[in-house]
Amino acid sequence: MPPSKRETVTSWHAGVWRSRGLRWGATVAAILGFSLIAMFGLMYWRSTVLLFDTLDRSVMEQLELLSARPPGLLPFLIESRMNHQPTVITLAGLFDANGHPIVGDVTKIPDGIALTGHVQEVMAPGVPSGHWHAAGRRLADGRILIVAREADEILEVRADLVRGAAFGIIPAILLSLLGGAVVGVVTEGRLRQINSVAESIIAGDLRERLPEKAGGDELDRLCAIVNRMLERLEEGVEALKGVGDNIAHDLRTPLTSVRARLERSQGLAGSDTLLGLSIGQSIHGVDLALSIVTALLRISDIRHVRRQSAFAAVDLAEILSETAESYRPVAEDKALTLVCSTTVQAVIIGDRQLLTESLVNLVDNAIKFTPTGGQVRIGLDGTPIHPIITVSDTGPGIPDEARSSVFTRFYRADTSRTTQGSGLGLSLVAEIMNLHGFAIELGKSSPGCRVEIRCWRGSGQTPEQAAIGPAEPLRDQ
Amino acid sequence: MTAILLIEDDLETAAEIDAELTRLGFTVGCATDGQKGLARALNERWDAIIVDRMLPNLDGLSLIRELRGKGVTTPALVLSALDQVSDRIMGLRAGGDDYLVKPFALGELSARLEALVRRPTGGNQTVLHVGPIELDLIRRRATRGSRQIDLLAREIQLLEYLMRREGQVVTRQMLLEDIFGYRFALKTNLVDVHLGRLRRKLDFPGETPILSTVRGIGFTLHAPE
Repeated sequence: MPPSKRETVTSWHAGVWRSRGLRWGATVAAILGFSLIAMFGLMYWRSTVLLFDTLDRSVMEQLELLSARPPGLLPFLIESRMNHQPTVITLAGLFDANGHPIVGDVTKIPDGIALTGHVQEVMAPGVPSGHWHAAGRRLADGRILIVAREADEILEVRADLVRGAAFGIIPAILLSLLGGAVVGVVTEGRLRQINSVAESIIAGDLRERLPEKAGGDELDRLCAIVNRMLERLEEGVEALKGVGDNIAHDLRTPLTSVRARLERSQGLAGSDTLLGLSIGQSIHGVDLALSIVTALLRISDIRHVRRQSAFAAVDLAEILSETAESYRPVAEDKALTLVCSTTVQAVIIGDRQLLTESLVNLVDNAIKFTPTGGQVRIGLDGTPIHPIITVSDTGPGIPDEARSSVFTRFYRADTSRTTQGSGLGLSLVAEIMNLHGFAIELGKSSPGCRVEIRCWRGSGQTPEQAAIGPAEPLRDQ
Repeated sequence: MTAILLIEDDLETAAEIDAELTRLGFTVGCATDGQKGLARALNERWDAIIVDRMLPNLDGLSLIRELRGKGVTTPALVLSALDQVSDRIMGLRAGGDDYLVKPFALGELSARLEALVRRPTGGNQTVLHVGPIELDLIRRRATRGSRQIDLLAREIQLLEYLMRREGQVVTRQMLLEDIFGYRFALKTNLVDVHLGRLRRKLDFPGETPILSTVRGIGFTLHAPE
C-alpha cells in the first residue's frame, strides 16, 4: 500500500487559525465582549437616562411652577430665588416679547429653543461648550420665561462611563483572544511536532513514536494509543520482512544446489552436446525464476524498509555522465546514438546507488528496445532546485491505449507478462522514485518512449492518481 | 595445495561445491554448523573460508566476527540468500572479504575464491606489466611493446583490474560490481561490449592474444608463453 498524498500544513498561520484553541479563545472573547457590552449598555442607559429624566422633570416643574404664579410677581420671584435660594441650581430668566432680558440668571434666550414648554438640550449662551437642558414658554402677556439646568456634569459622567467601559471591555476581549492564541499556538506546536513524526512514519520509519507525556491531556492519551498501534504495526511489518527473507532463503538454497548440479552435469556432458545445450537452457530457466524472485524481494524491500539512511548529497549530472560513459560503447555497437545533455547542475539528497540503478535500468532498457540507427537521449534540465531527468528513445514506444495500464503495472509490480519487457525493471524504478518522493511519468516521444523524472520531494502524484488520472502534458512536446 | 574451509548447512549444496572445488584442485574441508565451523577455522590452517550466512548454532556473520576478534585474518567469502544492499554491507562490515548471493554459478564461486586466495598483485606499483603490455597509471598511458594503446578512462580501469589479476578468471559479475558499481542484472551485454573494445585495442590481428574469454564465466588476461 503506497503512502497517500501527504497533506502538509500550507502555512503556519493557516494552522493557527484552524486551531481549536484560538477558535475557542475567539468564542470566549465574543461571549465576554457581548455580555460586557450588554451590561455596560444597561448601566449607561439606566444611569444617564434616569439622571436626565430627573433633571428634565425638575426643569419642567420649575417652568410650570413659575408660569403659574401671578405675572406681576414673576420678576420678583425670580430675583428672590437668585438672592435667597443660592442652593437652587435651576436657572431662570424672564424676557420681554422681543427677547430682551428683564430679570434672571438666564440673560439670553438660548439659540434654537422652541417655546413649547418641552425640555431640549441646547448650547449654554456665553459658556463655551456648555450644555443646558432647557424649556421655555411664552406667557399670556407676551413675555418669555426660560428655565434651564446645566447638563455638563451628567454628560461628563456619561463620558466617564464610556471611558471606563473601554478600559474594561477592550482589554478583556484582547486578553481572552491572546489566551486563545497562546493555547492555539501551543496546541499547534504540539500538532506540528506530531505531524512531522507522522510524516517520517508515513515515509517508512516505523520505529518513530509520537511524543507523549505520562499523565498528560487528551492529546497525550491519543498519542499513547497511536504509539501502541504503531508498535503492533512494526511487529507486523518485521514479521512480514522475516517471511520474505525466509522465502528467499528457502527458495534460494535448494535452487543453488540444483543449479550447481546442473552446471557440473553440463561440464560432464560437454556444453556442445545436445544434452549439454538442454542443461544450459535449464540453468537459464533457473536463473530467470530467481531473478524474478530477487526483483520482487528487492521491490518489497525498498517499499517496506525504506532505507533512507543511505541518503546523501548526489550530483545528478555526474550520475548521468557516468551512465552515458558506460553505455556509449553498447549503443555504438548497436549503431545507436547516445546523447547525454545536462543543462543544469543539480545536487539532491538521495540514495546514489539506487538512483544510479534507476537510470541504468532506463537506459539499458531504452538501448535494448531501440532499433539500429535510432537514438537514445538522456537529459538533465529544469532548475537546480527542480531538476528533471528525461530518458527518451526512438524505439517502438508504448501504444496510447496501453499507457494507462503500463502506469498501473509500473507501480503495482504486477509480475504477469512483464518479465521480458519493461515490467519489473520499471516497477523497481517506480518504487525507488517513490522512496525519494520523486514523480516519474511515462510519456510519448515522436516516435518512441520518453520517461521523465522530476527530482524533487513532493513532485509526485500518488501512484493511484497516476494510474487513474491522465498524465500531464509533457513540457516540450 | 590451497586449503578451503566450507561451512554450509545445506548438504546438497555443500556436496556440489565440494565436488567442483576438488575438481579444480582445491583441498576442501567441510563443516555443517556454525560452532563446528568456528572450531575448524580456529584450529586448522586454511587459505580461505566459505561461510553461509544462515547457519545453525552460530550464524555466518557472528562466526566471522569471532574469527576476526581472535586475530584470524583468513579471507572469508560469505554466501547468502539475502541480497539487499544493506545485507551485503553488513556482511562486509562483519569482516567478510566478498559476498556472493545464492544461487551462483560454480564458476563465479571459484573465480572469486581464486581472487581471494591470490589477492591482487602489485598493490602499490604505478607501472604494471603483463607480457608485452605496460600500463603507467600515473601518466595514464598503455603500450604493447612499442605500440601506443589509446584507452578511455573506463578501459584503463578495466585493464588495471585485469592486470592485477593476471592469469585469474575475472567474471562478468566481478567487473560489473567492481568497475561499474552495478550490483544488479542488466539486459544488455555491457561488460562484453567493453571487454570486446579493450581486446581490439590490446590484441591486433597477428599479435598473440593476451585477453581471452573464458566461456560462460568471464575473462582472463595472461602473458603469452
